[in-house]
Amino acid sequence: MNPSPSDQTTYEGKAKTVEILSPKKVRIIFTDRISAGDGAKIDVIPGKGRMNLALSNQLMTVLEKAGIPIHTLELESETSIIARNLRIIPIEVVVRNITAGSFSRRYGVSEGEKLDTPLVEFFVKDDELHDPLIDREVAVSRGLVDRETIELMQARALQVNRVFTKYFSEAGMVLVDFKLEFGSDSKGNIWVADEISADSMRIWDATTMEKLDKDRFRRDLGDLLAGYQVIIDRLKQVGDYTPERQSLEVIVTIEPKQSVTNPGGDVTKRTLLNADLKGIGRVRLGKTVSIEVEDSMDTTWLWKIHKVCSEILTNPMIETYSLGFR
Amino acid sequence: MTTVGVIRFPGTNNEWESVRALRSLGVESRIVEHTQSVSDLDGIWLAGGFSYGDVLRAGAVAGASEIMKEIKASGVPIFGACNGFQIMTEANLLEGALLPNTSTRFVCKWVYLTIAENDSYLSEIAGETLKIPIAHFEGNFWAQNQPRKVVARYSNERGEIKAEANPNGSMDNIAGMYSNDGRIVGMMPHPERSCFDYQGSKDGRKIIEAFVKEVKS
Repeated sequence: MNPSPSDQTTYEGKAKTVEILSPKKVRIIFTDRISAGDGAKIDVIPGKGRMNLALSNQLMTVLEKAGIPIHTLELESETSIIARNLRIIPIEVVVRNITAGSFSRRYGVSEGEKLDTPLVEFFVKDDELHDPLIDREVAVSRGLVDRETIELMQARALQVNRVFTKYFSEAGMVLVDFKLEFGSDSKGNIWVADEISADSMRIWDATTMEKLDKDRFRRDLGDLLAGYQVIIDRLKQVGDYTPERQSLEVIVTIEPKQSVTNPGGDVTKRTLLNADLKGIGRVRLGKTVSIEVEDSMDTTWLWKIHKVCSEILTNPMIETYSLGFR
Repeated sequence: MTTVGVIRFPGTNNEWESVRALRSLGVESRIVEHTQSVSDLDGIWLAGGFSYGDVLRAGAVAGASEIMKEIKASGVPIFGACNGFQIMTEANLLEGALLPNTSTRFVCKWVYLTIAENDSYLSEIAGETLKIPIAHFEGNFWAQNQPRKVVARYSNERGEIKAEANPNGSMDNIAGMYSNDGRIVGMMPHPERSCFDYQGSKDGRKIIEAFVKEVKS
């Protein structure tokens, strides 16, 4: 799924087809194609596209209720949606609650170990390189994404994880891990894009630990769609679900400029030297401001935050700032 | 009647001293709350204090307020002392920024101030050395480039601009600045606190007199 600006209007992904309808809109068709192991295993499973869309739409709706912006504009048919035409950020975000899959292989840990705290991993979307794991700093340094955006993606992914972990738990299932893709617009707003389905997440039965997701296909564990159907049915039993609204904390870090005297820092330095912290250079004191953002992001809120940062929170003559997200 | 409005923000505490000093120099003066209009005023005085508790930076919140936009557009003579000066720099009415004093202490004492050669409404008292008190934590003037519109510098009693006379670490001993059009003047010292014998000095009257003259002209 790599719609990029060109004359082409249709893109065939591994499991979906994207048609550019206008500068603002795309049609995403959920096909019955399935692949695994970086395209090593390919098949067509009739009915899969319809089920993926049903689950993805259900999960996206829950995210929207939680205040997390999603790319979907309207449901068009059983196998297609109309979504925002976004620039897909070439980094996939994976959130893990329990060890499995490539994480287990990479670090030699057995499957099914509960992680102390959810882990966020980033992967480059690049077929030729086989979608390698990438460090956040490397991704920024390679120019794949800017620092603010990847921080925002990380914060969003953890929010999504909180919402889904609770939702699946109420439906008697365990959310092991999942993948998210994000799309951005020119203003720096980001939306959850692509799909969130049993193709892109691992879901186990909470009692039997039976795998209900795409691992059934990867590992030939039996009828794929039977598992997918269980997920959909269980979520249906939960009924109309209202998740907790997720706010986002924006951390503004304000630093005095290098060129400006910082008396507070100078005094602090003397104190640190007295406390036997030798060999230190300049010390500068700044401040941080934490802003809880309740609003969903499909506005120009990030631009507004930059505006207040440069007009009120900092005096640009003497201070610089950077944004982080939590 | 020609009237000077003394602006009061939450945390302003020099408003009555300012009103009294202005009235003693023959101009009607009244307190104008930060929520009120400034359209009927002939002059504006931004009084000292600790507007909004000096959160973020001294004068930052008041500097970003609606009334400052109106004041900026008013076109009348403006004077600011201490926190008033800090608000003026934050609102970009005057050049520069006021950093914490090098001593990292609140400084409250008498200083000597020498009026620089300038083309503001204080030009007629250029060269005079005045005894006026200061009381501030953030009075350490700083600017990106060597400022040209300096209205006053800290000096000794003889008017010599010496490092020893610098009470707060200000660049070039700068105590006050004025605008390109000469209509806006701001300074850290408090002329309204040196207007009567009982205050210990009457030198501040010269500054206020020049301001009042500009307001009435």
